[in-house]
Amino acid sequence: MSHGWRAIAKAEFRVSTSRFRRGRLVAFAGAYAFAIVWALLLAPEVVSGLFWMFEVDPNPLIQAGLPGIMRTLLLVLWVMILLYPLSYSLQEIKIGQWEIMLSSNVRTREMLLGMFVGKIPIYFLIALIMAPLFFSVIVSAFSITLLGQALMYLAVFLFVLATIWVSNLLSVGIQAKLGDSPRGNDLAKALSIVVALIFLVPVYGLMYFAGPLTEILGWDIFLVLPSTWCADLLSWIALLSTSLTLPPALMDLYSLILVLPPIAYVILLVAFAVATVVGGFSLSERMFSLESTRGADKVITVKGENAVLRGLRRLMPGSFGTLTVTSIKEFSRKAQNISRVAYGAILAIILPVIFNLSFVGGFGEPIFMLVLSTFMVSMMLGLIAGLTFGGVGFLESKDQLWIIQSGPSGAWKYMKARLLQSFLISIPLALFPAAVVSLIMDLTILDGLLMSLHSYVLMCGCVMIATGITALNPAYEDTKSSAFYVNTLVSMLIIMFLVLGSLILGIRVGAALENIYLLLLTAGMPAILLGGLIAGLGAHRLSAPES
Amino acid sequence: MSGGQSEITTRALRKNFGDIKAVKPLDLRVERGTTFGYLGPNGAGKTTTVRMLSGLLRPTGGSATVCGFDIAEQRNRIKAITGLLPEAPGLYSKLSAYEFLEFIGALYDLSGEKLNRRINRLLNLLDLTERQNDLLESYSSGMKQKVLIASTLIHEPRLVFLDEPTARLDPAASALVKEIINALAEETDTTFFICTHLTDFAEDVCDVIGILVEGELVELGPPKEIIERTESDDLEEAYLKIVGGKIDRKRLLSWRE
Ligand SMILES: Nc1ncnc2c1ncn2[C@@H]1O[C@H](COP(=O)(O)OP(=O)(O)O)[C@@H](O)[C@H]1O
Ligand SMILES: [Mg+2]
Repeated sequence: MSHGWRAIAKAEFRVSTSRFRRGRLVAFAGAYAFAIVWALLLAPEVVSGLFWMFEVDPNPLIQAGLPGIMRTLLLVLWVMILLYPLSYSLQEIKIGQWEIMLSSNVRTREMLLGMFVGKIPIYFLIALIMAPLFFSVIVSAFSITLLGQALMYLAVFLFVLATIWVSNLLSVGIQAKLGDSPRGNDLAKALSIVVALIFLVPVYGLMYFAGPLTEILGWDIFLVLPSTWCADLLSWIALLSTSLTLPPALMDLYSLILVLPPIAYVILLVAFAVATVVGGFSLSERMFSLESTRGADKVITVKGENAVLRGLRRLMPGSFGTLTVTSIKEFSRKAQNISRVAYGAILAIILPVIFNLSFVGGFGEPIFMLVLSTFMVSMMLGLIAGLTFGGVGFLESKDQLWIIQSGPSGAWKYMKARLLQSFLISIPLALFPAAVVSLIMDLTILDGLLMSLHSYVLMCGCVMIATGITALNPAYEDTKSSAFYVNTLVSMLIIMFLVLGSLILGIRVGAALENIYLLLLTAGMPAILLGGLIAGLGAHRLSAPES
Repeated sequence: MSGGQSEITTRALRKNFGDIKAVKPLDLRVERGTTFGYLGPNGAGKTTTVRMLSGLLRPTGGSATVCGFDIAEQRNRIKAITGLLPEAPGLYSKLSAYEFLEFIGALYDLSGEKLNRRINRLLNLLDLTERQNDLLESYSSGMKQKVLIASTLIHEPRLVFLDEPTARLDPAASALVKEIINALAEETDTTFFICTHLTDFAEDVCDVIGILVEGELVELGPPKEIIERTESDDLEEAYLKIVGGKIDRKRLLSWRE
């Protein structure tokens, strides 16, 4: 193998750390030095300090449940290390770069290797900071010898490496399948948002069905997950290198879970790593062949308008109606918008249900249940509506802005049409989660409607706030730009404080007037007022000539 | 072009970006009905001038009137009767050509039957009818450019700014663009202000040419006069003489040593 992969790794690393361009090496050396000190000295102190503060002694608990805890921790770590790089790299398809590399006679396996190596420094750093948080507890509970600790960290890091490799493989494969077309990019972004759901849902399913499946199969179904192999190996290392003498009863308990001998787990893990490397290399030729990268390149022809759009046109026959209808079409045809909205709606349904379950006996008072779940649904929907309609969904590019601005009062018209479009699409978005939550929680129809109405009012306010902020500081569709991060952060902060503050205000008013309905209606007003203000400022800024 | 009304007049119009003097004090008059070619190398300040004239960019100093309206005070009046084709425009990838033109038309307050008729005529003229309902994301860059040209003409503007209209087009498509401009210039009173770095395009289409070098207008006049003044055979030679594009072979190949 020649040295082409080194150049690719270097470029990959430079791109991912371009934010600290100046002192890249210094920053990285510093971060690694800190991470090592953190792992060896600080993390154990911090974690044990936390337990001490809350007056909890974790040791008996951990000693009793080591293998189970280990499996859970590794599963979380595995999914995170797998998903985060995948989701990040899907935000931008890089097939253009591949073409350059391929044309310079670099072999495809070198490309794969280079991309992988370039990703290591940053994700390793993340693992180095995260892992000690969990492991220091285990290390101290079993007072594991230094050699044992070293072995454990070695195993984890090899496992993390293999996972980064798989993640890299997946992201290359998906990008190649989608292709570097506008449509492919849109689908990739949509995927990067829902990727967590795609992976987590089967894992949840596995947990749910683990019992019955294990009985049918006669062996532990979790043994199919590579994270389990690593977890069980770690448990073995802990048991073999502990300086405590564990009671035989405990060992019997462990042997129920740790069904294979340690060497078997080592073999499984090595086989996993080798298989993914060999598999990746042998697939690389096919993955990078650009013929296969035209998957999403098909031509889509639009058909006639549906009844809703026709109705809207009839209601608003002038040019404003046309603008609004076109905005609705444009927004709803983007897969990434749809996946963001769906993601938010699902979270809005799940959140109150989880909270309800995790309170012993639910929220207690029914009125509490209504207020709290409304609060959660509306906060979730407000956030997602704000960030989707007002964030990436607002403007595609700078040149598009020039076109809009060159119409008379173009920016104002555009802003109004976009806002109306968002308000209209928000209607089903407010109804659906509220309906599901009311059903699950046995709310009356009136209460369910109230929840919808309140969420809707808040959503409209949040959309105006986020749209206004984006208009003040346009980030276009670049989700990696600093303007995008700033806008998202500012919008989220404002929306969260506002929803919370509004709730308190609403409770005051509601208590004074002794009316729960007035409470929830009052609570939406500040968002609308502030939203109107910020949106107005944004439109004003957009319509002023640049200086 | 008969010494008539002035469509664009600038008085010491200039623009700085920090230390960069993108456009140095510019005094320019373009008469109504002219097809004006604004010629200059990359980075000369053509786009910057167009953005100032169309009210999208605030000048650092000087003033200008466009179609009789002041660019500082009456931007919306100017925008209503001019059209702009930006340099590297982003289309809405998820709209069809028809829908995109409908959108732009609505931005200029057009709607209903009138708008539909114009869209159909333009699509027909630019030979896009067959694919008018396909999403723009699947269009080639030349086809996208045609859609954009249609969008700048949709409200029948009096003055059209075209920034590098043929830079991404194949020869057949750019010939078509030339034809459209010539036809509109002859049959209507439309004024065209065309930025380009392509001398043959400018020579074929424009009645008057201004050559901009590093933010400074160094030549102004009909192409024939410029060619005569510089004792050249064609506009390309004249342009290279003016811009200083003499090619030194030694230097060109020095990197190989
Ligand atoms: N927004 C901007 N900020 C800073 N410099 C700019 C900006 N826009 C243009 N410039 C600079 O102004 C000069 C003229 O640019 P431009 O008008 O785009 O030239 P042209 O269109 O003739 O190629 C260039 O040096 C360019 O780098
Ligand atoms: Mg330019």
